[in-house]
Amino acid sequence: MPKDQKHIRNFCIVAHIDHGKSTLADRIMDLTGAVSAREAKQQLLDSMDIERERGITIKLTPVRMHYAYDGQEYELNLIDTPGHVDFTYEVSRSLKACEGAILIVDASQGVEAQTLTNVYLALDNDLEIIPVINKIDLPSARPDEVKAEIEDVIGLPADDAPLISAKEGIGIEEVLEQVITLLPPPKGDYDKPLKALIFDSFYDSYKGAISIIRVFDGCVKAGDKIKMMATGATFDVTEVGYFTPGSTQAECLSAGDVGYLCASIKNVSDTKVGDTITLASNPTQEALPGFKEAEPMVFSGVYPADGARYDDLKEALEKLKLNDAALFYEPEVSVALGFGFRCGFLGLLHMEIIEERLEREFDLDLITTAPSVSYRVVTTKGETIEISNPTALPNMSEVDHLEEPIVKASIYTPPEYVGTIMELCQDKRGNFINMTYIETTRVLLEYEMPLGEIIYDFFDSLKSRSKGYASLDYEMNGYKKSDLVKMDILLNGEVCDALSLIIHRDKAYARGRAIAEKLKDVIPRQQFEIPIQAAIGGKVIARETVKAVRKDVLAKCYGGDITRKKKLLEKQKEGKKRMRQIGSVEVPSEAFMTILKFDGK
Amino acid sequence: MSGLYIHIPFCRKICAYCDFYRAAYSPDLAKKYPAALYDDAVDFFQTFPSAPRLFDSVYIGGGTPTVLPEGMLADALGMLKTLVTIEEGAEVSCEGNPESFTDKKAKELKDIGVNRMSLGVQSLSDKTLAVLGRIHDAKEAADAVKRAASFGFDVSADIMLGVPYQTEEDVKLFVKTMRDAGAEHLSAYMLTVSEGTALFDMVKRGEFTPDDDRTADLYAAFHLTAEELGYERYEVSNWAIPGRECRHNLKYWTGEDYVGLGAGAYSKVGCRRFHTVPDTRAYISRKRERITDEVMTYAELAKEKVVFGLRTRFGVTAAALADAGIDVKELMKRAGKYFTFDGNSLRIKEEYLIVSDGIVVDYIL
Repeated sequence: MPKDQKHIRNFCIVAHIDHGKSTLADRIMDLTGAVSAREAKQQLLDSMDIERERGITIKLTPVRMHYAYDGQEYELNLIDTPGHVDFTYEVSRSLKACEGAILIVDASQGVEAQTLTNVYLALDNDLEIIPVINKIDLPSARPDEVKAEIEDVIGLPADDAPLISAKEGIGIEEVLEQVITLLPPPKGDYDKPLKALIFDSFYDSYKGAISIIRVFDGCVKAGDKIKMMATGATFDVTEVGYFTPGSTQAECLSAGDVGYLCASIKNVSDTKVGDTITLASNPTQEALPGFKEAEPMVFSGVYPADGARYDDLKEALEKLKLNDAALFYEPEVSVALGFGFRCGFLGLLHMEIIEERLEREFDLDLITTAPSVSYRVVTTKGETIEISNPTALPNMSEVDHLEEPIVKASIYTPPEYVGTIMELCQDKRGNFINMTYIETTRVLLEYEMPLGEIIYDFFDSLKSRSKGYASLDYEMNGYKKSDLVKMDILLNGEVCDALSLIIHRDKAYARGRAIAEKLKDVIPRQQFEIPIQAAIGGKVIARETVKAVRKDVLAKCYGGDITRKKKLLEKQKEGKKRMRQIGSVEVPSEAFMTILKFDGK
Repeated sequence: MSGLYIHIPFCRKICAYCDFYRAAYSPDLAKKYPAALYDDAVDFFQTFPSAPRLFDSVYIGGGTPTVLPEGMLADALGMLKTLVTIEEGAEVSCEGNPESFTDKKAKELKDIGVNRMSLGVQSLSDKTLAVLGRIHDAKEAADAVKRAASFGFDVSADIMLGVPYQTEEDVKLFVKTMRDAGAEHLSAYMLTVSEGTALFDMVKRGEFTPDDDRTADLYAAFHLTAEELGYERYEVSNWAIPGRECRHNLKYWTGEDYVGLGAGAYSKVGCRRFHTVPDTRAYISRKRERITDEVMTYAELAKEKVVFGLRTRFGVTAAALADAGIDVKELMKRAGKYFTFDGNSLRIKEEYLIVSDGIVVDYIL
């Protein structure tokens, strides 16, 4: 039976981090009775601890709610979207599942870079947008100016924008009223062959990979044989349903619906975000546009601190991969670190999240190497290879040139920081494209910049130079030939492969010096002197020395308390166990990250 | 042979660096201490029937044993001797501080059989002594050493290395002065700043920065001067005119048994290490509690003998190494830089004693 789509609203909330997306989502759920107050944990949609701590959402969990308005019962599907530049593609797929979006703008912060990015993404997906001004309870709120900003900067009429405080529960009904009256209902065709979009998936140990879908045409129910249009794989549907936010089984999901689909799928990589599901027996002619394979941008070596836990790490990565199709990994061997994995991530945040989850949820101690981007090597024979690990670089005599990935960066900042930010961008080898005064208090700087520079210390520097006011967004913009060199770090005369990095020649001296200095601080003094050298192609460009230890013995024994002394020795031994033996040198785990973190000005 | 340790926890004043178990002196508590020691001993030998009762070394340590009023140590020893036997010719040491080691005290100790005095001189610079919270000055300290020698005690003097204001000259002067005063044994303890001490607070306030490199220099200066004046280093922190080594101290490093009596005293009996809870009030009211620090397997005991034996000039015998499952040949191949092996004993080379913890951790543990 075709469902009445007139009373369905599929919408999402877009906002800059911290502008109150999750809080508003919670309030809406409170109001529609989706969550009893007792159950309502703070920021319910953020199901993972790490994300909750960072106040951002990555996991997308659509919630079906019911709300009576004007004598009619409406079905509201709230689709949560991640709010970070690493997850732009995921955001775009979630937006695709909606007809409209609530745009939250912080009443004191105003429009930020990310706000704009997400708004443009929403507009690209033909979404109707309702602007909402949040945090009006704050003394620093300036709703009228922010309204003007929305009109000037984004070009959206904001006169009727509800003034709300999600935290205080002010204005939520008005938001729902606008959702119902201003957002269009879905316009799918029940009679056409099934066409459904996967906009998220997660792994359940009982049901397998579960797809989160939006049905555009037709319907799907348990027993149907479905086909994934990008992969061609077919599966038998075992269950369909929706979230309230607990999962609720349904007879079928039909045009206009948002819900989940289980089909005994073993792996989330078979439920690719952006893929179209159709019926194997009666397929739709055309897949939904816009499907892309998730592509890792940032790579890092991930090794167990205790080499014996390689299998545990492998298992942990397998488990995370079940839930995260964007995570890429393959085995890798390092002379310094032994057996581990080269992992690929969507961005730095994604990397940090995965690494933290590995450490927290799987109780692993990790050594991670400095993140790298994927470089293109064009050989003298004219072949192009991509490398994401500096040690994979062929002999330079076989290399014609190297290319690095470039991004287009958009930075929004109050005008007083423009000077220092331009200086920073220049320093990061940025090419100035454009500067626009959005309004008197806000400037948009556009730069073309190597991704490799963005992942190294850029974001932190940007924040510190602008006292936290500047925001950054970037998108990939191809590859460019660049004067890159491989820099090696030698400890006591031996190259430590895990510390090698590819770097622009102009940056090599400064970085080499900084790394050598930092390593000198983190490598403990040992029984002999340890030279630390940074070298390019055998030529040493920086040198530091860790002096030999002079005193390492405890004198007194507390009236025969040998046990205490033994414990101290054992502690010392434990400390050494956590270090890596690089040739003759013991190197603590944090040394491998010093390449990334260095005290920016 | 085994040693007997008697802990006297009282001090007139708590020193700035001390994290030993000690309590401010109180006449009421002190009065009841000898009987409590006896009670402790009775219980000890009931609880550990295999514990040794024949000793060739006794060490009365603290705290400051010399703060006890006259007669009390005599009482304590007298009572204990009804339970244990102190061998003829045993080394009987007593710790003391210069200010409480008077002629009278010297005579008393001599009378009860003490034959070795270990005096906490710590420094011969009044400025340093003041910072350390010592209540004696340099002159008193030197006089106390002379007094001990004149009463016929074997004398040992302690110094701390790496303390505030200390120079290499100070250290050299200490060795010379002590030699002249008649000390035939020296202990030099490199400073460890422990949490909860006044010195720790000084460091936190930035008034003093411990510097291991400097301490290493001071240690080297000390050792050189001591050697010149005829002392031999027989353990990381101990030097003696040959024949005057402290028998009791060596027991800690060579894995011998020792019976520890007193509040906070440590014992080793066979494979077990334990201590009495450091609470003088509870101790006196017979509410003692013994805490097991560890029970070792034979293999652990053998390993421990090697770990600590390497702190001494005598090193570790081939048999002890075999017991601990250490392959000497293989060890010498890996770490010959740090060790000598003469076919019978393995030793850490002299110049590496000061970094021997790291070496032991790397190659023995």
